[in-house]
Amino acid sequence: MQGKKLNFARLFILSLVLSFSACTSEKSESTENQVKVEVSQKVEDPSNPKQKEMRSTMKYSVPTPSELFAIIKNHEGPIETSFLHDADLHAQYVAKQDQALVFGVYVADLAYSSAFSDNTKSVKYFSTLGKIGEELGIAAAFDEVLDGGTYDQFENSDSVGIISSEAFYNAYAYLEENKRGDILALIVAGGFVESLHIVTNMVGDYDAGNPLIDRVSDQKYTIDNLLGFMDKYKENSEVWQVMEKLNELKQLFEGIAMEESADEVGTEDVDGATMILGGGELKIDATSFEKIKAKTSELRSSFVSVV
Amino acid sequence: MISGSLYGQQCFEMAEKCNSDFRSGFRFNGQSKSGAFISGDTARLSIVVYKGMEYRITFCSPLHPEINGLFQFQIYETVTQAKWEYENGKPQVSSNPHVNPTKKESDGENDKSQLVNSSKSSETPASPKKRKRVYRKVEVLRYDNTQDEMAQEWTFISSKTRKLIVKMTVPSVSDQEIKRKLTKKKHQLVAENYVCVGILLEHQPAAKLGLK
Repeated sequence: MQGKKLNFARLFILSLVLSFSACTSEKSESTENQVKVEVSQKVEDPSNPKQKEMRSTMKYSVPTPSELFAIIKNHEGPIETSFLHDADLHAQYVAKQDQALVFGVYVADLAYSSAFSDNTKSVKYFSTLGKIGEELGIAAAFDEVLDGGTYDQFENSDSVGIISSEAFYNAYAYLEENKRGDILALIVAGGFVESLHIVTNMVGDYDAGNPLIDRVSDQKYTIDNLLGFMDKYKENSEVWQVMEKLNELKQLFEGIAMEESADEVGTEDVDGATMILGGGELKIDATSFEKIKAKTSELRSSFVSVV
Repeated sequence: MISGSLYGQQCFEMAEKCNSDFRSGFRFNGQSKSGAFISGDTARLSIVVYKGMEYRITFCSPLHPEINGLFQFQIYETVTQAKWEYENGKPQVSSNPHVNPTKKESDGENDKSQLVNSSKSSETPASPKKRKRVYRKVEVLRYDNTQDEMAQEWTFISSKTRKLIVKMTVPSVSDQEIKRKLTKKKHQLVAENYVCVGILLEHQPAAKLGLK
């Protein structure tokens, strides 16, 4: 009897209480659980308790735009901001789903401006995000990090970046904990698409030797996790529509080849840290790049346009 | 009855409280997670780590300090491994495809995988006829803290961008060893108790280590 009681409590807790604070989902596993199975023979047995357990407990994290731009900020070349979204256009978004998508877009624009030390634009985007945040009911997250100050208090774009990361984390956690994960899903989707839009535009024409090309390929992993995260909220029609568009983009990423690694699968110590070695590396070709760039541009346009 | 949302609100910022000093240049990473668990629960979290970044992952329960130091965690990666397979069904190849190329070989005509550059394999076929490249997804254990004196944090760099699976187990009261440790710490964790757990991920550029 006691065991049944515990089991019930466990199921109840797992279904209702166990929730992560940001960017997580319980998407059915598609690849992670296909261990030791031929790629061409993907087998999933719904009755398999082990697979069921994995499906029920897998959560997905999505790297933020600021993490992506922190890596590529050493990119040499002129800083181009013409492909960012105009911060002054925020007032034209009235519907909540539009506000959520464009909030994500501006998050990425802020991350880019901050990473490339454009303090003026950074402050502008942060201010804009505060205004849309009010509409979305997450202004408290911004007030908290501003701590009674104003947007002008930032000493430099780096501090904007740090502060904004904290604000977004608070906002995302708040949304998820208050059963507004659908809004969060759209925000994260908007941030991903804008980040990809920026990086593909930074690349310009395809050049296999351009290190930014690899960053485009890397987004194959991110879009996998993004869709895994959004899956939890697919009952929402707006989320579902965006997922359908993202799935079209994901199909293009599936066309990226995986290059076998010359490294042994293993680890080695490097100055106190462990270096993870081995595994394949994604290599995008010109055709895939152009298709992904075009689809991203199309998606981004649909996010920022007002019908 | 404790409602999920009420309890969740107590838990949702746990990751931020795991380690507030953010020492050594590490910054808070938005892939960090917090959640409510009961004793013995296991969670899996999929994260993406970029080439060129150094990461540190830490586990903690600020509201239940008695279980700090007792989290078990493993880091896995699903990697694709390749081998040659021959018509007679007997793979006559070495088991490790991740070795430096020593001999150029062409892909078999039946190879339909998206993987490329298979000529890098050092495998030597017994017969050059009717072979195909077969790819298998294998879950590789990258780190296990039970093999590292139950360390509650791990610092790592990746040679390339990859997706990792973090598997974390909340200390179980049914585990005699955990019971002994809790007793030693003069604490008791009841099975029905919820615990808030933070999985803190931090990052910093690894450029100083020579990565691009």
